[in-house]
Amino acid sequence: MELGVKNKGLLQRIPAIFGFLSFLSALIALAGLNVGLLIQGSLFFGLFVFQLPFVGFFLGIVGLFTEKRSRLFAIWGFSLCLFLLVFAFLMIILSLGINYKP
Amino acid sequence: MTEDKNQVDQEYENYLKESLDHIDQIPSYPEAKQTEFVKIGKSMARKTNIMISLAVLLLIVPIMTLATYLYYGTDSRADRLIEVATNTIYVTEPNMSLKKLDVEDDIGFFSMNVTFDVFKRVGKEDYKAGDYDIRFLLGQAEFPKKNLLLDRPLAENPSKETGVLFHPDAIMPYSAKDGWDTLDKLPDGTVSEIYVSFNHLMDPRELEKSLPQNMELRWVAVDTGLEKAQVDKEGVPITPLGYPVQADPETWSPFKDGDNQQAFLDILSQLKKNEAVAEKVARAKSLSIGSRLDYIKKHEIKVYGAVITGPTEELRKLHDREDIRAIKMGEVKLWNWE
Repeated sequence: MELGVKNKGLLQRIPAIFGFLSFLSALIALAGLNVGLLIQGSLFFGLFVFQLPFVGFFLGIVGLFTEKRSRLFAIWGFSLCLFLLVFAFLMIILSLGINYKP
Repeated sequence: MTEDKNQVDQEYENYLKESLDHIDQIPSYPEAKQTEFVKIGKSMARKTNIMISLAVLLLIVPIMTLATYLYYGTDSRADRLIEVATNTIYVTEPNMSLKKLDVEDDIGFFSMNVTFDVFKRVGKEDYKAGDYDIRFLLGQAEFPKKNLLLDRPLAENPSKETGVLFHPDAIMPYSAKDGWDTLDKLPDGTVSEIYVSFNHLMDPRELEKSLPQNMELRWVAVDTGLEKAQVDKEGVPITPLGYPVQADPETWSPFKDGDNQQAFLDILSQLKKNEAVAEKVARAKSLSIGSRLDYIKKHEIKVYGAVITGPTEELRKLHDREDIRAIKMGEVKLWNWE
């Protein structure tokens, strides 16, 4: 059987692009977080732990509505961004609890 | 039954025919284009693999960090370790205190570094005596890195010969005259810290009352049953256990309430449960807290030695006391006794 042409509209592709962007933003955020943790510096920490994952989280949600195309990137992007947000929340709570100073 | 089956087969054949007709309507790509699509597919699969692998690799450090924080954060493990380390200083280092609010922690991968400054009161002022850096590998303490700024630091590896406070029945490795000679040669207008060994056990309150006004009793060494031999049951040298006598104004100090004897007993009970950590932090490599705490509870708190600070000329007057067996000089500073 030969490969055929299926016409895909731009509207169908947008959620898939959002899913990819979500995954990409999660990867960038993770890379920044790794650098921050390894050098123990807080440079751009807010950007990598809050802002990028926050954006990626919503892009991932849009990406999950993809039809007739793979949702793989969207699932990964959404999951990683959710992990980063949970990570940030838990780190704040635990840091405040350890050796607490008024 | 047979009719139904035939109908389903017919429907299926019709569906297949429709699908084939639909495929025929789709314009096909030339072979070169199809090869390009396969290449694009391969490239996409490779890109997906790379991105997922990268994500998995980048997750390692955050997960390790989070696991470490969860370990130290749950059940107040970090706070307990910090408290054990700092309380060990109070009861094993004569006349040494610290500011609990200034204790810093730094959590890494499955480890925690605790750093703090220690102080000694000489005369009326607290002088920085040095700093401690204690590394914990999860719950296990390593030997602390110390940077002491003292003129006469206590021996890092204690033995019978390097002791400064001696039980009335213990053998003294130096002449009782040495400490007084040094004190006599110091100029007036200085303040000193001296380690005083008594020739009998006494109640800490009586001791405090019996001292002249122009000096301050800082720390007392408590008889715990092992001081005569100065070694534990296995023959490992021990150091004195004691407590600060004065109420500590520091907000989070265990001795802030003024009932220092009770605070001392509470600390020993805590150290008994965390003896491995306490023995790493203390200079002595054996604390034998369990047996010593039992002895104290049975015989009450009796002291055999003390750390006293005050103007050097005032401290010389202690030479007249008959119950002092010997003294050993500690730190000396310029006049601050106002």
